Amino acid sequence: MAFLKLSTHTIKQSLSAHSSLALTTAALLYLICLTGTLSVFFEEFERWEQPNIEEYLDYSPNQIQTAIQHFQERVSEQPKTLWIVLPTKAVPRMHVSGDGQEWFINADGSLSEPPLEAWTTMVTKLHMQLHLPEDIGFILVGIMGVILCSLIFSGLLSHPNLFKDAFRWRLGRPTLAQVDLHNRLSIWALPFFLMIAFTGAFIGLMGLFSVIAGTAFYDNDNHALLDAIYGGDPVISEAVPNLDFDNAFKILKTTVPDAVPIYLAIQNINTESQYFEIAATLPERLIYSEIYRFRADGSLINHQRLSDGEAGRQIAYSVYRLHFGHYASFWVKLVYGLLGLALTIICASGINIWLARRKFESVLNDLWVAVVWGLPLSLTVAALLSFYNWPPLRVFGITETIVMVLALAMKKPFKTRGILMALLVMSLLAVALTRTLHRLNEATPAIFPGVNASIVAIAFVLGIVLYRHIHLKVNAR
Amino acid sequence: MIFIAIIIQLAGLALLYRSWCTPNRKSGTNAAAWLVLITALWPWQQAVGLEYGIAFWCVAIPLIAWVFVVNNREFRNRTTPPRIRKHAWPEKKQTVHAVLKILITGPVALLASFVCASFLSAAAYRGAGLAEANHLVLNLSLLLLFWAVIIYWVTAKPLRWQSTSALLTFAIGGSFWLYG
Repeated sequence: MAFLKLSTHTIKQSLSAHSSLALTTAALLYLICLTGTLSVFFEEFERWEQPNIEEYLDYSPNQIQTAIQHFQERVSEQPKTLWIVLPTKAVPRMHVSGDGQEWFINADGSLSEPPLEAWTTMVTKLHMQLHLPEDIGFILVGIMGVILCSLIFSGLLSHPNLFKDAFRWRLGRPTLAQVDLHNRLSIWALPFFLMIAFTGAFIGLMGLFSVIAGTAFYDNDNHALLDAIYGGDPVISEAVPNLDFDNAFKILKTTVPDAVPIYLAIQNINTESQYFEIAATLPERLIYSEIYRFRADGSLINHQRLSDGEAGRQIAYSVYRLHFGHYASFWVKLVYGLLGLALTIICASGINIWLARRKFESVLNDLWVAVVWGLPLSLTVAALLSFYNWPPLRVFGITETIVMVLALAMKKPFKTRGILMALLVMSLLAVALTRTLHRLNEATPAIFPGVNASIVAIAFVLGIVLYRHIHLKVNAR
Repeated sequence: MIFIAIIIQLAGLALLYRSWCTPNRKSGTNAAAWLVLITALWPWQQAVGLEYGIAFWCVAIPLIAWVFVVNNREFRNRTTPPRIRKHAWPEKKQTVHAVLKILITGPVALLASFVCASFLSAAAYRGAGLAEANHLVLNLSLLLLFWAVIIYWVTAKPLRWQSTSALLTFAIGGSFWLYG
């Protein structure tokens, strides 16, 4: 194995690169990892946030027709594409949307409330685009994915004992415990973190790639490039006016019995070139869906070949589920949540180690405590006040600013950390309690008490960490 | 089948842990442990299909490994001496250098990576007759890989005009080939 031994110079340089990259991007990376971990459960949070929506798994073509009719009556202008999101086990709700207008569908086909754009939307948008304009935000988060890959490479090259110490966890000394935690979490989940970084970068930078590669290879036509990867749209003429969903669902059931429809998209609605697509998941496949195209009369045109086309197309369409952990069952989400939390802890502990090794404290210590404990606190306060119709993003920003000012004014990071942890525990309990009290006399889906119980459990675990934190201070005295 | 896959992975990690616990770790035991771990891929893909199987295999390793890590935890009590608070501003040098390097070389590195990725994927496209979607996805994947490596390389090395100009020349030259 001597040939694998790295020179001291390479190790030093890699360590310098690792810490430089981490210091430059730590806060942003931490925010992306934290919100990403929460985003894994966005479906559960959406149902918890808006529990009064009718839930069911069965739907009929008649119900879809009625919903479309109601939608068309409500909007002033017909959208080019109309989407009907079908109920699934993960989200047993149905909704119709087009041109930014959206409503849930009741079991009888009538329209219910519009989906709430509150805390969950804020968290997912924060993860995907940092609430920046879409193009810039996606690119920035994509670049963070590339930097995470760089951090993984530099981390591997700068820690020669990473494999040697693979099972070591020395507790008792705070810094040493952090070093071991950082390295153990990093090494064992390395393939997962690489996958998350790569798929995140892939999703975020696809837009940028379509521009630079579209200019180079497709005469500035980036739509042509995207069509080459994902497949183009069919051209239809002289379509019949009525959409026959019944026939389409029957054909789909006969052609691909295992396919589970997840959404329906009606293209060029009420024109001669109208047709519709049924997107369906396939068992044991990571692709987001296969898209089956039907003429207005319900006869099958073709499928987009996302499941059986070129390998590149299948890979490009598999990155979404792989990144968000939305495949197989709820257990996968739980594991993704745990590993996402591990990546968040790695971000925090990495900077903690760097700060501890300086042997002195400065403004950075205060700011870092405000980031690590202030961000989850701000997210929780935003959730709590969103129940009272406060805009979550504004609450999040204001809370984090207050936390930063508080941390800078106190100049005692250890004490600040304790206070922020205590506030976080209290606000988590307040979220669960408020939510329960708000819906005490209403029928709620099974997920509702589940989410509340999970929040209480998290508060309990954090309470133990807080107790240990206080205990540590007493010991130090 | 899932149960068998987990048991095999557990056995592989137990073997790795046992080898790790001995003072002179034998590469033979390590190799055997990894072989057992890789064998678990088969029951995984039998149980849930190839794609899910690989993903489950990957995510199961850290979960099982942490059982051994927690089992092996040790306590070394010692209070840390209190740290002095300096009225110093953050260490600007390191951070500013890193930010500057990323700002200066980020777009150049992106262009250089794109040139490299385009060259290699075009070679595979023409040489191996890759389909268009495969060519483009390979291009993007290589771009992400090269970009991450160049960012590491640029941040690890001290900023020198020779290496920066070499990267710049390569990026500009390559752009002429692509866009010219």
